Amino acid sequence: MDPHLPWFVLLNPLLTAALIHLALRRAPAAATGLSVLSAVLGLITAIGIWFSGTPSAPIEISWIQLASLRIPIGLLVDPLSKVMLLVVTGVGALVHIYSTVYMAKDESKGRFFGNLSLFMFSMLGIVLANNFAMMFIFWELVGVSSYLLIGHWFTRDSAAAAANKAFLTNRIGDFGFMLGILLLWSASGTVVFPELAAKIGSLNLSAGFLTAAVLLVFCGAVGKSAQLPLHVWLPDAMEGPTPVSALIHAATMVAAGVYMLARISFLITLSPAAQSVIAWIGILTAVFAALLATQQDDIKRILAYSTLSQLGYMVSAIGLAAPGAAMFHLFTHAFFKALLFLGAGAIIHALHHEQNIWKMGGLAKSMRLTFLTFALGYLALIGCPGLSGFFSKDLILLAAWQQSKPVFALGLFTALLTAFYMTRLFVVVFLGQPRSAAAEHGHDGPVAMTAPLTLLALLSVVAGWPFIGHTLMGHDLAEGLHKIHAGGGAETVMSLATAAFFVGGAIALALYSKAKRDPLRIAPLQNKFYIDEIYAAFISATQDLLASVSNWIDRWILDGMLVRGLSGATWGTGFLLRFLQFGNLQAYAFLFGLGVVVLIYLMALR
Amino acid sequence: MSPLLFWIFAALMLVFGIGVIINRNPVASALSLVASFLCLAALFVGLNAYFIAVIQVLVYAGAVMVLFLFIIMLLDLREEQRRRFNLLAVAGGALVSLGFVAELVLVLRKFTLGQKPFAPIAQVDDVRQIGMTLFSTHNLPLQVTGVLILVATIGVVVLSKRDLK
Amino acid sequence: MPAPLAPLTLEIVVLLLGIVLLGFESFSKGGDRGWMARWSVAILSVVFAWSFFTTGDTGVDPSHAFYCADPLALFFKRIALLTTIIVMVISLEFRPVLEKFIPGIQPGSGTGEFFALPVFTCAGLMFMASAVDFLLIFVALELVTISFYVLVAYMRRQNASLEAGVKYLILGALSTGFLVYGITWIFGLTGETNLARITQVLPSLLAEGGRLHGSESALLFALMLLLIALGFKVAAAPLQFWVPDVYQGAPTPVTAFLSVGSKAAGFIVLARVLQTVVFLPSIAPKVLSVLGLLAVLTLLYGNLAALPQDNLKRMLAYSSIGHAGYLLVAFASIDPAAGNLYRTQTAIGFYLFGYLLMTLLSFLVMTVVSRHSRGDDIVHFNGLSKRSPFLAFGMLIAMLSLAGIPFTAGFYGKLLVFSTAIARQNFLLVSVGIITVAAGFYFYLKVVSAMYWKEPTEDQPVTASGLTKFTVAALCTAIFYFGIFPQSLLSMLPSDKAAPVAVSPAPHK
Repeated sequence: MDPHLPWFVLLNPLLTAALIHLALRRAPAAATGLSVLSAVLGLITAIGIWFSGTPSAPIEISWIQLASLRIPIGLLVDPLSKVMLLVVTGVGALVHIYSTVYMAKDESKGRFFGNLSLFMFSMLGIVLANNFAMMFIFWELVGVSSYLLIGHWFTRDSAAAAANKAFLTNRIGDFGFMLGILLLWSASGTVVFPELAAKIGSLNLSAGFLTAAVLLVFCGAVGKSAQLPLHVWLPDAMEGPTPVSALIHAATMVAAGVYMLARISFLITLSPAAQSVIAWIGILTAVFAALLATQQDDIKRILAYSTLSQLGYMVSAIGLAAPGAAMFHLFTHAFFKALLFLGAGAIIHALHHEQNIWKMGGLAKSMRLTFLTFALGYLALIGCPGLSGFFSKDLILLAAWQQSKPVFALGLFTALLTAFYMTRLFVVVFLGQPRSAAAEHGHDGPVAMTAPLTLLALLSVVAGWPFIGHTLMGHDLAEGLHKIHAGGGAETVMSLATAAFFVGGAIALALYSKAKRDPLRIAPLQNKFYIDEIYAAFISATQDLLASVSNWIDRWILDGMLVRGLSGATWGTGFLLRFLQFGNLQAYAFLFGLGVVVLIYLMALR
Repeated sequence: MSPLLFWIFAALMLVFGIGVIINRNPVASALSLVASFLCLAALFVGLNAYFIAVIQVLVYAGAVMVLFLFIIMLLDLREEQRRRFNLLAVAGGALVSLGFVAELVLVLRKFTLGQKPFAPIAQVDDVRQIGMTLFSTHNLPLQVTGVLILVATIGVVVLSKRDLK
Repeated sequence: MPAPLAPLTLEIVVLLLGIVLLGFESFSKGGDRGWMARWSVAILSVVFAWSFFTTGDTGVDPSHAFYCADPLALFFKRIALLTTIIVMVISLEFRPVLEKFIPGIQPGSGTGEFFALPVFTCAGLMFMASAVDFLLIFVALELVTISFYVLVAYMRRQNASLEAGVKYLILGALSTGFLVYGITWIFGLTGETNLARITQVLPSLLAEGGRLHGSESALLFALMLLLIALGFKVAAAPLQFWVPDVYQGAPTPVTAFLSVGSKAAGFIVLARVLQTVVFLPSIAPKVLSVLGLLAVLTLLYGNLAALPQDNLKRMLAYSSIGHAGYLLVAFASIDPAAGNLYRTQTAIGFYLFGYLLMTLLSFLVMTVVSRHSRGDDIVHFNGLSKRSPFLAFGMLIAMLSLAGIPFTAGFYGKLLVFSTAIARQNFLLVSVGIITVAAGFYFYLKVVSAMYWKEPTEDQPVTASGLTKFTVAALCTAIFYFGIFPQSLLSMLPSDKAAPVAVSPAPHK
């Protein structure tokens, strides 16, 4: 394979972003064209890479070279990154095309497309990185570009707040991620994945150390893939433009966590304790988010919770030592979830930014094409037999069945809930009568909008078919899938999953097909179990504490206690002023002297 | 120098040093400083460092202090107003300096090597010796000191310039 | 290529420049003294370029020298020169403010010394970089400090400046007292002032049962006194109380100079002093643990106290304390078994160079903006991206680099520092470091969000001179260049591979 191809894939969006930001911000048409062109080129190159073999020598240039640390800027092209490249560039290109319509009237279109290209660059960096340090850098860059995209409409307070929330929540996860990387580096002396994989076995690391390192790295995935308890940012991130939600918060960025875990699955398998933690966090997120999704009214929020829930499946699969199944589900999910978001975007666009499902209804007639494609995405998501989601979800459930029955039970319950809330969404939005004036004038979008929908719908159907999906996944991953399949229980799981699909769908159909408003009102679910409120209270308490501590040091100790504290009413005002000026100095000198005494004690007398 | 004389002059030096701080009258403060310097010079004599002792008297006790007194009188600084001591400041200062002295004592008590006499550095002709050292081997620091004094002079001129209206 | 020059010529030229400037100043007519700064920039730039053609060999045996010119010394001389050059550019932008607070017959007269003194300070900093004898260390340090006393209090009509000057003077004198006292103790213990010879004498002093006759604790006592004085210079907690007030009160160019030049020189002296003792097995653990304590305190104080600040100048003061903390991490992670300090020296050299670029960049932009907005609160930066996209971009780069975003010089410096700590398995320091980096993100990005996301309070555009624009552009480029190609800078610093050039004293076996 020509080593220039991966470099081109990586650098082409960076170049585009730079050009747009530096030269083309005032020329939105040119910016749009350039950005779309570069995305399509990226897709074509990615396909080219997929068909060419794996490179014989590592593709890297040296960047940092210290005695104890070597960080190359290197690209890793293997089956795992190849399939991820397809997902990112594929969904990316479609979203770019779609955005030309969706963002047509936006004032700062140039900025939007510049940031979109910047995001593509950072995401591809994560995919191609051959070492932890580089992955972490791009990890952060993805955070920044997603911050910029969520906050695209930053004049809206909620958008700015959501952008901040996403950024800060991710920092918590990344803190652990960084510590994990540092631990692994200090133990093995390398951060390059292939070297680490070769070395780690011979290091005789204690189980506790490995578990700690893996779980710390996992923190990064918890943040980026929005798992419990850091899931709070993803639903709020829906404040961004809908194409952004489709690209970043459904298909690619949130999947980066899963991708990273798959990348280091050689490490995770070394620590059974960490594995079970990961599996449980994943499946709990899946159930939890599915529960919340049943009571949301905002179409994008429902899809956001559904994304959370599906990501939970994937993370859980990693914990079940089935990275192949996780990647397979990531692959199929990317298409149908992007499709659902873009479909939702088409509806929102047609309805003049109405997002409440109870103000829609009857759109099946007026938005025929959108309806049909959305239906396929919906069926794929809830695991209708024969569509992509069915196959990939089935594999994860099967892996759970083989390894841990409780996880399987929760997974099955999630599948039922998924069928329920998606049917609710589908029925309320598309069937029945229009419930608002806007909903009566629904219409399909232009070709640039419907073409991506159609393509994605096609992919949503076929991507999971074993002979297509498994081929695309490459030999190694497909092998893992076959192994799971051969592990026993396939028929039982498949029939149970199908039953869940029917039962969930049927209940929702019965409840909602005639409803004008939601017949179920479950307060804790509507309020997302009050987690946001709890966090807010916790954060503001911590902030208050920090602020008051620093305030206390600054004002009280220095100014107050030593100066004003004792300078009560007995002293005249003149004295007070005099002491304000020189008392400060006295206080400084006193603290200086105190420091000196303590330090000398510590150094010489202890 | 006999230990007795050392202790007398050292004690006097400290007493006058404290006098500098607690005297309310600037002139009295300045004179205490002169006395303190004189005691220091006496200590130098006791160490056979006659040149430094003479310089101490001439430059510090003489020239510098006279300048101080001139300024004090020129500016007509009055006696500082009587005011209540800021107890906290006094306590803080005392705490810190006592702590430091205590640490010093502790270190010194352990340091038995310090009781050995230092090998004599200056032989007979210490003026000549200092001169030779300063202008041959130690010339570089001396030159830098020259620059330092230049900068200090500029600083004094700049900061004390009258407002030219 | 010209024949290699003796390194001391660099200082001589700088001193001559200062004297000539003063001479011309006293005979020049009119109020405008900007030419002094411009000439300084030009000539110091020549000296800077010249420094690449000097030989490292002073021709003197290090154990009898006051002055050495190893790669580290040359590197820090360049830092001093570059800092002074940029400070001159900043003071050119600062002139209108300065003239308002300086009494004079006409605007501008009386500002001459403001442009001449930094040149002398620069010479002092360069001497500090080369000093390997306590005598020269002391004299050079005082040269720097005394010129700073004057510069800080320069704006006599402004109370804040005067008060800052008084505070700095008194506390500075206190710390100088500790320095001299410490040097005296060292001399008393070893009978030497030369660092290389002290290194040779110390083992025998400690060998005869250092614990038994107390020379060990005496040496530690002396060292601590020195560390206190140097810690004061580099603003390490708990000796940092003067920093916020003095930095905020001083004229902005002086603040910039203090926070970079004075700090860099303090760190190189610290490195030299530590080199004499840190390989002694009985001394090293205590010294390193105290340094670690200082690092933790400094990191926490600097970064946490910066959080609530809404004045940019004061925030940068706290941030400079924070950065001193990162540098101290590199010192606390010295490996006594390594036999040399290359790792730490490389880390602090790179860090300080990056710190120079980003700090001076932010001070330069701040000076321009605060002249137009009449204030240096963060509020005054609201909507800067609309008033001057170029300056806002410069400030953005400075803040990103200060926060430590990858591919900036600031990131690589932090990486080097943390890598020393990780190599020593010093996870406490690393964790504290990472927490404070996170806090740093918060307050640096506060400035960025003010510039880009808030509406401007006034709408007249902010303009800057050509020289300023050039400097901003050059600094931005350098921040990225050294962040992406750090090797070019690292090759100037001592490394494990290269044999120690010239005269750094050989570590004792």
